[in-house]
Amino acid sequence: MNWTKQFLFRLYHEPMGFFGMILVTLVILSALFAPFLTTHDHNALDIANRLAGPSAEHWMGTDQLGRDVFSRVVMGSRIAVWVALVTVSMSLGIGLVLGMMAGYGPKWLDAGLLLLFDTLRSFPTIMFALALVTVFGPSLQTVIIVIVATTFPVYGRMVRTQTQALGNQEFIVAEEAMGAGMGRILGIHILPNIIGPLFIVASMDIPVVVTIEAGLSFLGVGVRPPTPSWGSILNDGYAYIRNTPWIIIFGGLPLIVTTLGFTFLGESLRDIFDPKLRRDL
Amino acid sequence: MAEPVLNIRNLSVNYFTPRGTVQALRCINLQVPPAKVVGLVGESGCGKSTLISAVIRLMAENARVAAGEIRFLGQDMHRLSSRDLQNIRGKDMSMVFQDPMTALNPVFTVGRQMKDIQYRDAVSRKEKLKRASDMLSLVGIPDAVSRLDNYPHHFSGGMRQRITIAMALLVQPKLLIADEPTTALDATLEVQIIRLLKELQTGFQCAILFISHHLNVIAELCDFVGVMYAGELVEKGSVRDIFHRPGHPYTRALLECDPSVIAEPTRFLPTIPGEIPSLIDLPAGCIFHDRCPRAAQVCKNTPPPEVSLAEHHTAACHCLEV
Amino acid sequence: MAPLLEVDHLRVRFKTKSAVKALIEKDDDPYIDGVMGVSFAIEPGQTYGLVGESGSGKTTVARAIMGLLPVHSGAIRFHGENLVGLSRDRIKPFRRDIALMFQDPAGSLSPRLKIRSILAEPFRIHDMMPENLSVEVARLLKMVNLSPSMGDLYPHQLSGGQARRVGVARALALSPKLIIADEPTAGLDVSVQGEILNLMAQLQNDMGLSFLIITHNLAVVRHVSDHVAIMYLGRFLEQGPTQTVFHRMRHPYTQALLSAHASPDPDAVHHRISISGEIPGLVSRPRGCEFHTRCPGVQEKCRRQFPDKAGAGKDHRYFCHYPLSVPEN
Repeated sequence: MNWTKQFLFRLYHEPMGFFGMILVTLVILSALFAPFLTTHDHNALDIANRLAGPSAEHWMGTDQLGRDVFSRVVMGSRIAVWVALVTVSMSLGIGLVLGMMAGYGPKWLDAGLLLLFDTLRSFPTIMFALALVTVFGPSLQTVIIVIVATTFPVYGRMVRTQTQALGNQEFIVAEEAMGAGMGRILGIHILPNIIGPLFIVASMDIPVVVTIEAGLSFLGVGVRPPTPSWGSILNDGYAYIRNTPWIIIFGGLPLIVTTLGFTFLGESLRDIFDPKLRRDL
Repeated sequence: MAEPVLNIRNLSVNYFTPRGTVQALRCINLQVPPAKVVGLVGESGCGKSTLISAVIRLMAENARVAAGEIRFLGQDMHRLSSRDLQNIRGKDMSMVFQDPMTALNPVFTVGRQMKDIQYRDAVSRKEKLKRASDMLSLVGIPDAVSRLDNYPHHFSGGMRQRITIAMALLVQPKLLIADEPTTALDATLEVQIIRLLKELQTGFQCAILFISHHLNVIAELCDFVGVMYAGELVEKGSVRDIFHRPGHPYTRALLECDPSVIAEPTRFLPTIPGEIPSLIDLPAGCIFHDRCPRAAQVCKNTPPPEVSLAEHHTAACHCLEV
Repeated sequence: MAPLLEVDHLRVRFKTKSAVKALIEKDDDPYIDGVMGVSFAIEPGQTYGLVGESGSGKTTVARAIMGLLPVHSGAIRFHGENLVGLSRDRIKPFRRDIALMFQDPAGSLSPRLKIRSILAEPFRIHDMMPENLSVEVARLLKMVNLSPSMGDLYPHQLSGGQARRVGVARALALSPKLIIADEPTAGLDVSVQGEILNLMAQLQNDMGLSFLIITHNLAVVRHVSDHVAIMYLGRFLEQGPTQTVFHRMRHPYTQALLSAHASPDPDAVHHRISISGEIPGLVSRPRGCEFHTRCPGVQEKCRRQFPDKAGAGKDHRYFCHYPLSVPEN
C-alpha cells in the first residue's frame, strides 16, 4: 500500500513520466471503451461525403470511402493496444523462460539457445514479414508472429546475462547447497530479481511494437481491410495526401501520442526503479 | 609539536536524508604532525570514511560541514576555490585506497598512468618514466623498467597495492591518506605492505593519515592513534598510550575483543554488547553510555569532558582515573 | 569414536578448456589442480579449522564436501558412507545433515525474500514443512538471539552481525550434524566477531554440533578449533591439534602466517618471519614443494621434489624437507 503510494508520489514528481502516464491512460481508455466513443459505425460507407474535411459531424473528416476517420482511429487503438500487449507479453514470457534456461542450465543448452537468439535477431523484420505473408497470407496473427519472433531474443539475451550474474552469487549457491532444484532456484530466487528491469524494457518496447504493427499494416502485410488499424488508415490517406491531408494527420497523431506516452513512462519508470539512480527507499 | 600538516578543528559533518539529519561527525579535533603517522581506528559506522571525504573535500551530495574547519598546510580546505583544491589534491596530498583491484585504470599501462600523474612537472617524458620506474623498484617491484608497459591486470593484488602506493608517493606529497590499504590483502601480504609503508614514510618524511579497523596494523605502523566511535573521536594519544594505557572504556573494550590479544585460548570471547546508537536521534550524555560497563548516572545526562591523561593523550569520559 | 566426516585423499581438478578444444590442441590433460589430495577427519562435537590465504583452495574443499563441485578422486565419508559419486537424489538427504554458512553475510540471503521465507527455505526444499512455520521460524531466530519480529525484514535491512546470525539460523533449521562455516567472521567488526563465535560455541555445547571453520584468520582458529590444517595451493602443509600446530609448528609457512598475526603491541620486537611474494596462481603451480618460491629456508631439493609426509607425534603431520626445530617451551 505504502509502496504504491510512494510510487505514485515519485511518478508525480517526474513531470515527463506523469505526462506519459496521462497519454498512456488516454490510449488504453480509448481502446477499452472504443465502441462507446465512436460517433459513427467505423465501417459504414457514405460515398456522398467522401474525403470530407473535419466538421461537427465528422470530427476528423472522412476517408476515400466516406468512413468516419475519428471512429476508425478510436477502433484502431484497440488493434494497436491489443497487438502491443499480446506481443510484448509473449516476447517477455518466451524470453524469460529461454533466457533463464540459457543462463542457469548446462553449457550446451546455453550455446544452442544463444545461436537461436542471434539467428532470429539477425532477421530483418520487414523481409521476414513479407516471407511469412507469402506463406500464410496477411493477417493479424502473422504480424504477431513476426514481432514476437524478432523481439523475444532481445529479452532472452538480457535475461541470460542477468541470470548468469545472479547464478554466481552466494545466495544461489546457498540454495544449491541446501539441495534446491532448478525450478525453485529460477522461480523463487532468480525471477524476482530480474523481473523489475525487464518490465521497464518491455514498457519501452511497446511503442516500438505499435509502430511495427502500423508499418506492416501500412505495407498491407498486416491487418486485413476493412479492420481499422492505424497503419491501414495511414495507407488509405496516403494517396490523398496533397488534397486531404487530415487523414494522414489524424491517422498519425495517435501513433505519436502512444509512442511518446509509453517512452516517457518507461524512462521515468527506469529512473524510479533503477537502484543506481535511486537515492533511498 | 611542530605546526601540523593537517589540522582538523571542531569538525562536524551532517548528512541530510529523508529520514532526518544524520550527525555523522561531531566535534572532531585531530592533528597530523609533519612526518608522523596518525592512525584512525573504529568499527563500521564510526565515521572514518566521512572524515576522509571531508578532508579531501569529496563529500557525498547530501553531506554538509556543519561546523569547524580543516586546515591543510594552513589553508582552510573548505574555503579553497576548486582550482586551488586541484593543486593540492594529488600534489601535496595523495591517497591510497582500499581496493587495489579498482584503483588503477584497466585500459592504460601502469607506466602511462604513472607518467600522467606527473603532468604538473615540466620535465621530459623520458625523465617522468625514469622517475616512475625508480619508484616502482623502490616499492619492491622487480624488473621495473620493463613492467611499465604492463597493464594493471598483469599484476597480482599485492603488486597493485604497491603500485598505487608508488603512484601516491611519486608526487612527493606532504600528506598521504591511506584508507584501509591492507584490508583486501592476505595476512602475509599485509605484513609486507605495512613494512613497505613504514620504510617509505621514513625515507620520504611525509605524514600519513592511516585508516584501519585492524589493530595490529595500527600498532605497528602509527605514531599517534585516534579512536572513533559513532562519529566522535573518543580517545587519542601516542600509540603506546593507546595500546598500553587505554583510558576510554570503548578503547579498552575494543582492545580486549581482538581475538589475537587473548593469550589463553577460550571458547567464549569478550564482546561489546549492544549496538551503535542512531546518529539521527543522538542519546543525551555520553555516546557510549548504553554499552559502557562503567556507565554512571552522569554519563546518561551530561556529555563527557575531554580529559587529559598524558601529554597528547586525551579521552572523552566521565569515569577516568587520572 | 568413529569420525563424523572423513575426507580421504580428496582431489579436485578444474577443467581449463572444453573437450573439443583440448582435442584440437592435443592437450591430454586440460585440467588444473584445485585441491591436491587432502585428508582429515572431524569427530562429532569437534571443530576443525581450515586456514589459508585466498587462493589456497579452502573454499574448494568446502564446496566439494557439499557436492557442489565434481570430485576427481578420493573419498568423502559421512557417517561412514562415501558421498563421492552419489546421484543428486541420493545426496539430498545428506544435505540435511551438513549445512553451509557463507562468507558474505547479506549476500548469501536471497534479497527479495523476507527473513521469514529465507528461514523456511530449508523446510520447503526438503518437504519437511513443520506444522506451524511461524513458531518454527521464531524458534530459530531465538536460538541465534534475534527477536521474532526480524522475520518481517528484508536482508538489506539487517546489520552485518544480524545477517550473519540469520545465516546461522538457516544452517540450523534442519538440525544438521555438521556445519561448514566459510569465513564466519569476515566483514564483521571485532566486537561482533566474538558474538558470532560465542554463539557457535554455545550451539556446539547445546546440540553437539561439529564445525568445519574455513578462515584466513589464525586468531579465530586458535580459540575455537580443536584441530587445524594450514592450507597452501591445494595442499595441507601442516595439520594437527591446534595447540600443537600453534606452539610446535614444523612448517615455515605456518610460522610465517602466525607471525603475521602477532598481537597488537607497538613495543613488541617483531621477530617477523617475513615471506616475500604472493601465493602463485593455480595455473602456475611451482614444481617441487609449492611453497619454495616464498620459503625463507628454501634449498635445492625443495625446487625438485615435493616432500613426503612426516609426522611428529599424535595426529601432527607436515610436508617439509627441512622442518623447523621444535621451539622449547
